[in-house]
Amino acid sequence: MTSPLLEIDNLHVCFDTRAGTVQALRGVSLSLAPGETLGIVGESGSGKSVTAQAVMGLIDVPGRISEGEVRWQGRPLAGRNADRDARPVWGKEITMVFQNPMTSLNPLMTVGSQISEVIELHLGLSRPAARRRAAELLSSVGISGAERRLDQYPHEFSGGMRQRVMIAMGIACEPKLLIADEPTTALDVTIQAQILELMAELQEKMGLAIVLITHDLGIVAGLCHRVAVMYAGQIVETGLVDAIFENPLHPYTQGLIRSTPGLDAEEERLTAIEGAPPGLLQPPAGCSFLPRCPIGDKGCEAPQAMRIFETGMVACRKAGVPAWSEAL
Amino acid sequence: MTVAPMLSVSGLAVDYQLSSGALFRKHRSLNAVADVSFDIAPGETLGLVGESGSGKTTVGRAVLRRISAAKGTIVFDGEDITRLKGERLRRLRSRMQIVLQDPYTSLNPRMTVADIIAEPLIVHGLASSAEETRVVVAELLERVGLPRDAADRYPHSFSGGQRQRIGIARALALKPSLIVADEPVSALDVSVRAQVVNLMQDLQRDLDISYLFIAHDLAIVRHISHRVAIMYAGRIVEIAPRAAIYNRPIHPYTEALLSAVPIANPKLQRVRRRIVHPGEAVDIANPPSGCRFHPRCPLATERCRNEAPHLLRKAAEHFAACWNRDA
Amino acid sequence: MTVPVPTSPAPNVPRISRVPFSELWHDKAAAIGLAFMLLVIFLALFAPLVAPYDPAAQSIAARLRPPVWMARGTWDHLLGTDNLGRDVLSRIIWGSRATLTIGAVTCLLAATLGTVIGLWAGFMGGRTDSILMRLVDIQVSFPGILLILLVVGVLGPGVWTLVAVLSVTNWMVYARLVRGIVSSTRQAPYVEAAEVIGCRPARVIFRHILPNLVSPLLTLAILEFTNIVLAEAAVSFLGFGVQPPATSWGLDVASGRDYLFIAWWLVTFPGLAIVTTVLSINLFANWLRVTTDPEEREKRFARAEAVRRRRAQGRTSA
Repeated sequence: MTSPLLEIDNLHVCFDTRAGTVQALRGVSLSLAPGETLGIVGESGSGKSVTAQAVMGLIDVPGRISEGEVRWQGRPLAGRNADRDARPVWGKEITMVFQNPMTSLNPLMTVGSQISEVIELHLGLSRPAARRRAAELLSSVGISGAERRLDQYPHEFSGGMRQRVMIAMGIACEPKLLIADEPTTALDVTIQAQILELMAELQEKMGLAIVLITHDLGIVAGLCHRVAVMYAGQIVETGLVDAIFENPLHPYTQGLIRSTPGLDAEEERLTAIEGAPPGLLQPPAGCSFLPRCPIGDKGCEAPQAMRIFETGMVACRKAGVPAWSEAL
Repeated sequence: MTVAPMLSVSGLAVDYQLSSGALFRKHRSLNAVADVSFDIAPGETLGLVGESGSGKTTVGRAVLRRISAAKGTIVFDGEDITRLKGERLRRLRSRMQIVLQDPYTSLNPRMTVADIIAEPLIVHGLASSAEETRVVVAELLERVGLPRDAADRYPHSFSGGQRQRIGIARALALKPSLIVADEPVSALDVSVRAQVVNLMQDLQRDLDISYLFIAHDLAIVRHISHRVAIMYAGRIVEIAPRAAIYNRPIHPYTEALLSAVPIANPKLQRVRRRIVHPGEAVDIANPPSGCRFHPRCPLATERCRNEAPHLLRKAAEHFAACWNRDA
Repeated sequence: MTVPVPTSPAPNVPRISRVPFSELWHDKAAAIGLAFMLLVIFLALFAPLVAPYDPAAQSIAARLRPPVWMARGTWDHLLGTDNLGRDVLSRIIWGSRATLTIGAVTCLLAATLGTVIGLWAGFMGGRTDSILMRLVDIQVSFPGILLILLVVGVLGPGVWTLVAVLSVTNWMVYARLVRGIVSSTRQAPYVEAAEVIGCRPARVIFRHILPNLVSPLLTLAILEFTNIVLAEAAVSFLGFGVQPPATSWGLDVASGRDYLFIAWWLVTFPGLAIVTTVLSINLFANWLRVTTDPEEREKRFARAEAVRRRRAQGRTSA
């Protein structure tokens, strides 16, 4: 077995606000092998983006890592004992693509100089060489007329094209890991399909590991090898994509899959998970899903241990029990 | 059709003024939507689907008379409302309502839930006393599945899904016959989305409301709609009962759109044939000649480049704007 | 089926009213600013009771006395006397009346005028908006002090002329602020919802748009107040404002300037009164601006929290 590329170990992240301390992540552990695509699925506030920020070292005031750490190829990258020498990893070996390409590109610089800047900074290429590389990158992400487009400004690109530029910048230094935080949420369906196709293609070509953060189960199903489902700052279930979609073990995962309408089934009524996620100022000690869970009981009020299965892990003592019956 | 439609839109066109902000400069107008026609029967849901810039929101606003039509007519419950003005327009407002996309900005943060829901009753003089208003508000809260004590709280203490319920209660207060729902669930989380969709379906069944359901999410639209219209670059390209649209799409754009929707089923997703047309959505400020989809269309011919197709009857209730393809 | 109430607790009411005070206390500069403002207001209100002398009472025997701590100073006149033997402290206390009144009335008038025009422009939009805002531009580009001198020259000097003319030269900033907020609030989905419901324009304006203006307008008015105080001082200094025997700080500075070399206190104390009042108001207004903006307020809290944590960490590691 290959050693993991990225390990997240019992990560806790807090945000200090006037109302109190928000516990955004509460003991998240994950590991990622080289070349693997991991989908992190969750609703808003589940902590999926905070996880990515922690890996990228982007947790800043008012947030802080209160416990646990992130390791990159065995070296502590973020957390209490973070290795300062490991920092150049960010932006070079680990890169990130954000949801909104317009706000992550500098509107006053040409696209070409923004890409070249990254290359010059991390790879130490000369300016003309960096420009040649930038042109190559643009064509490799499917932008035609790359030479000409290098001299254009971000506003001259459409939303989908801007996201391609972001991806080009993300892969400029041939990173080992690309973190994509809702990369297609701001895009139209047909453009989204193009971008996802591009990401799958790049991964195959470059042997890139991808962490894909999304709320859309359909995107995960199409692109990922493994999935981690997050709820209220914790991972409730991880496993291989096929296993999770075919046989979800956690009641929340089951509910999530069933409440996503498909294009085929003629179901008359969607399964709805009643209620809303708990607040993270005073999260419950036991299972956070308990108030919304149809099969939870007294025993779920105690902290839930991770149960390890052949294909993954699940934090539920009743894992595997069908939670949502047809009759509901 | 034997039943008279609740809403009948024909030949609707909306122009936008590209305002320069200058005092004396000539405004350039932009043809945002043109040649849009559809009917909605009482108690029916028409799903209006399109990508950003397709004009779907513009159509919704034109139906509500928030923006005026440059051409065409809008007939609501037998009355031509295209040019209605002043007090009569305000009266009309009680019978067609809106549910907005963003539950966080669509409620006035400075008003209590009771004030928000009661406002339509007050402005239309339907509440004779404070006591009566309270009773009506309580009924509406119960109707949309919110606790009674929600009335005295402010919107910020509710979650996204609950706020959307408040928005729906406000729309219901006037007992409208038509609700224009503009992406009502796309800002909500997946697990909460289903709650709101189910609520809207229950309300339709109980109160016989017609919906114009505007969305970009084809899966949700399939779930809630009886008929579906697909828009592209300001035109309706296809309109048909839902089964026909999803099982036998005619327009190449509909086909591409359907194949691009990610499905939450890894095995199916892997073997699906995805039709990815190159290119981006049309810049409606400079639309292509003829059929607006022709630069991206695999079937495009000379005729498509020169002549814009109208909606043509392809099957019983199935219309598509394509020269080259039949049912 | 019942819908669970969200578990995140809604902030309870008593906390809200208590928090600003402790927050104000944390920002020492703003707290001192507020204290000084209250002091000045108190002195202005109770001038007849607080001031040791009649500000106009002359005493030839006690001419040009220096402040108490100087060689010839006496406890009778804490801040000394002027060339006519009038008590400087009493004149400052009485002068605060003129200064504050002119400031407050002018702010009120200018804000009202500016708000009405800003609302009109922002709500109507289109051509009305363009015309009104160009009007604002024109007036802004016209030198204010020149206009003041022109009008005073025609109408003759006096407190109410001053108030009128200062209002007419200061409304534009309110109009711009209000117009900006109104035209962005008009786009807010809840305003659209209100219009679709069938609210008449008046209701939309007063119920849905106006409440958004209260806190920015208040902050702006407080800041503008300092401009008015300075303008009043300048105009009175030039002799076109408050006329003797009435007093104002600006007038005192003006009449003291002839004695600058032999009696520095005549200019210094009224001048200091102007400076400290303006500074206090600015410090407090800045705090108020941050506090009424939830986002800024959260940031300020986070910064303070980070500093506290770093200090605690330094202590444990030391």
